[in-house]
Amino acid sequence: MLLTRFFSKKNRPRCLRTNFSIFDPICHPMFMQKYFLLCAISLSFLMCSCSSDDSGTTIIVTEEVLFTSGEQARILGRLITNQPINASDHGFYIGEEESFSQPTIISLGEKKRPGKFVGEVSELKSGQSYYVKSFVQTGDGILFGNVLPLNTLSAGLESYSPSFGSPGMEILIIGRNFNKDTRVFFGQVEATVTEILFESRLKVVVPAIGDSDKVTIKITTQDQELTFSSPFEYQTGDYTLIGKFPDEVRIYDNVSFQNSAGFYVGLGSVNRTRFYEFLQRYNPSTETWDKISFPGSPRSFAFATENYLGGGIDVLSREPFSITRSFWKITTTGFQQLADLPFDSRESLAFEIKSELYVMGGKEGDGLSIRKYNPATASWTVIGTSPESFTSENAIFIYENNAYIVSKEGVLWRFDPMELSWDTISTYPGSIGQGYGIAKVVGSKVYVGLYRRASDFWELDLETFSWTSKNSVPGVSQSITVASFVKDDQIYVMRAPDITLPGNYPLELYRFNPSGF
Amino acid sequence: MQKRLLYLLLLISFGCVQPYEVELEEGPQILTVDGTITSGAGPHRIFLSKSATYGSIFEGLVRPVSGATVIARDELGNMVFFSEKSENRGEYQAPDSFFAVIGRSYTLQIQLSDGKVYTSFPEKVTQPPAIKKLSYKSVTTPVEGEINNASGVQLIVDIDDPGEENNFYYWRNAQATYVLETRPDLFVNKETRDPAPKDCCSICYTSELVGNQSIFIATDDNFNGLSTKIPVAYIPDDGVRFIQTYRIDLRQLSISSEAYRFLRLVKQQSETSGSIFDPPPASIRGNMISLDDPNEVVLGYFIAAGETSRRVYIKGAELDFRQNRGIIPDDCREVYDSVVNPPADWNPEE
Repeated sequence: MLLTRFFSKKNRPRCLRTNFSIFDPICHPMFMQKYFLLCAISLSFLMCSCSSDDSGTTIIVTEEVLFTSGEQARILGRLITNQPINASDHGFYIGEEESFSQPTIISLGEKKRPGKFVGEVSELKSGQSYYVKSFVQTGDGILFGNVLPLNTLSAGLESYSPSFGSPGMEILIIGRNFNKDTRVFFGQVEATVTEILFESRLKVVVPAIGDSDKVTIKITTQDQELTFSSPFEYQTGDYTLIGKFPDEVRIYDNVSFQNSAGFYVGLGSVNRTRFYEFLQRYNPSTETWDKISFPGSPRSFAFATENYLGGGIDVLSREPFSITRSFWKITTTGFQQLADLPFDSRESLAFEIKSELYVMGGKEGDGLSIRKYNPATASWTVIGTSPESFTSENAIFIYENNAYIVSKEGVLWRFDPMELSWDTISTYPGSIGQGYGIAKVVGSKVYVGLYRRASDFWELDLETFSWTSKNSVPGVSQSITVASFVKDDQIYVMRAPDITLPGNYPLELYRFNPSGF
Repeated sequence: MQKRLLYLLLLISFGCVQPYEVELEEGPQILTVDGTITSGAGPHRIFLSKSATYGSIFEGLVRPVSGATVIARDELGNMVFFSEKSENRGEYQAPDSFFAVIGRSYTLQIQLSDGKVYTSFPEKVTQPPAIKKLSYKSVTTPVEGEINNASGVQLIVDIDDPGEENNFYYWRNAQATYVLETRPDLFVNKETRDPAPKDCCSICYTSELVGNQSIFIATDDNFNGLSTKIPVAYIPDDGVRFIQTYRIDLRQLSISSEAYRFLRLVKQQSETSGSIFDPPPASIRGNMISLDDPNEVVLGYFIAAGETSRRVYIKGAELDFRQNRGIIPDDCREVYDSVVNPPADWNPEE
């Protein structure tokens, strides 16, 4: 370029043949000769020293395996070149052998600039070794990068939640490397997988219940079969409507108890307007009702156990209440009056342990005293106090000679009447509603719930203290349980619509089979 | 006279400066990833932000990137999902139960709310050498234009470096707690400016997270397989911290060679003083890559490291130099995050 400019017409010395002179060296013929000779030699040197470099360098590198799962892999490659490139294709070769005899080709198409590129493949086999190399196809042929090993991963399980539920609900299974073909089975019944998130989360709809309420969750993905060690538990509990209260009335604030003669429901009031003066006895064997007369005064808010009945109010009025202290022994043939209670009792909590009667709390007096009745001396003794005030609003059950009471906050208290000790052991997970729940023991499990205006029912394993939800009771959700019994591992509950609900609703008696479905 | 006036007018007109509008191409806001997971108890956090852009004037702000899905995934395919903190957008935290497993490789996967997906290169968690001893000494530094020197406490670790491998160290400060002494007897009513001494309280315990003023890293190129002492942290003396006892937990991270290289470059560039011997500024590439556009620039680094930690109680009375005592004329409980009772594990004699 410079030379061209130097020898351009503009720069060339302008000499006339007549003015050759030793004083004008530029135009002297000798000088001109040397000048051109020198230029010719320089030009030849320059031309020799210039070498045309037509063959540029192009390198293709397989940089990194960025991601592998059971069937997917992402690989990073890089094209490095110092010349313009017009590649018709680039990408990766993947093969099970390092010779790439039958490769899977990830074709990323044309590439006209150097730089990084990412290829993805999603049809690999789980737990398999592969090799991968990058390639670029130019007009001169195909150029390959270095070879990297690639291992796809096997699927694995971590957890699922919730661990129990009913058909139609969604559960989340957490694991790793779930492929697109993942299937989930609850026992033998296949579930619907609604979503696979990040190869590690399965959203699954619980299928209809099969032969058992406890099933193993099995996951198949490609050739792998995985199972969880802990079974999924279907929410069970089957309610059968077996009868109605024989009188077409709705009773509240009543008593209920059971003995060998049957289930008793009665006293209390009809819609809190008049006393219901009788008891109705249900025989679960014959499924018949008998009306039983009560020799004492009718009452509401009394306490009743298998063998004793007492206290309550004998006039339907507002505070101050008229309390009756009459106290009765219940026998299979009738009622026997005992000496009056030495204290007022309204909505007290009463229970029997080792044939001894305990009455605690209630809505009269200090609400904390625990009283024990001695039938031999017909005397009452205050044996201690409870940590908080309990009334018949609190669900109570007896297990292994201890009383268990669910507080208004759901705390499950254990009372040991021998040691007179209290401790908390669990918390009821369901709805407390407006109190007046039930707790019934069947074997080593207790069923708690059915509070006023709440329909959920929970099973507590008394060995592990774990809670499991059971099916909700049918009927009007704003109901109250007015009676409950246990016979042959089945629970009987009578529900009445809440007193605030107008209408002619009957009192329904259900038989609840905890393991039914 | 008229000529002079004409010259003056000409001079005035030449004296006017025509502002030159520089029209620079506005740079893109670049995703910045700053995250570390370790084999320690955590918390393990990932910070996502978009860098600011520069034009003829300072434009834009560093903005947190919210609503992203952030996952750390190990080489077996186990994933842990980071959840964004509601009170601090752009900060994603792993569940409390999570910690990195020594020997496993981890990748960070990020999916932004606009669907863009980013991933890191795998980072292997290596076993960190134990801290044999953690000691301290006071350090003074002259300050230009100031009569008093700046000072602080330098932490020094003793380590036995394993000889069979190349180790890369990174030290970070964890939560610190110290005895805060105030003067409630000097309290002054802020409205009337009258003395209103308070009866309580002059001694509290306060916690802080004091960041290092530098990046403390090391490689064992010069001490492979040997015992060595390395300065690993510097805590400035603000006149309050070292009055009595200052407790700090030092975290020693065992990082990868790539992470070390990244931090070394960041350290070099952050500590340039403007001299001719400074390294020329250059773009520091991290280990994050965009899957949608692999050539997109992503700033920052995802570190997966083995962690060991050691606690030290710095006794103010044992320091050679301390700043003049700072006086807080109020109840010490009025100082943010201060309580009267010491932490349950406070034991300066350990």
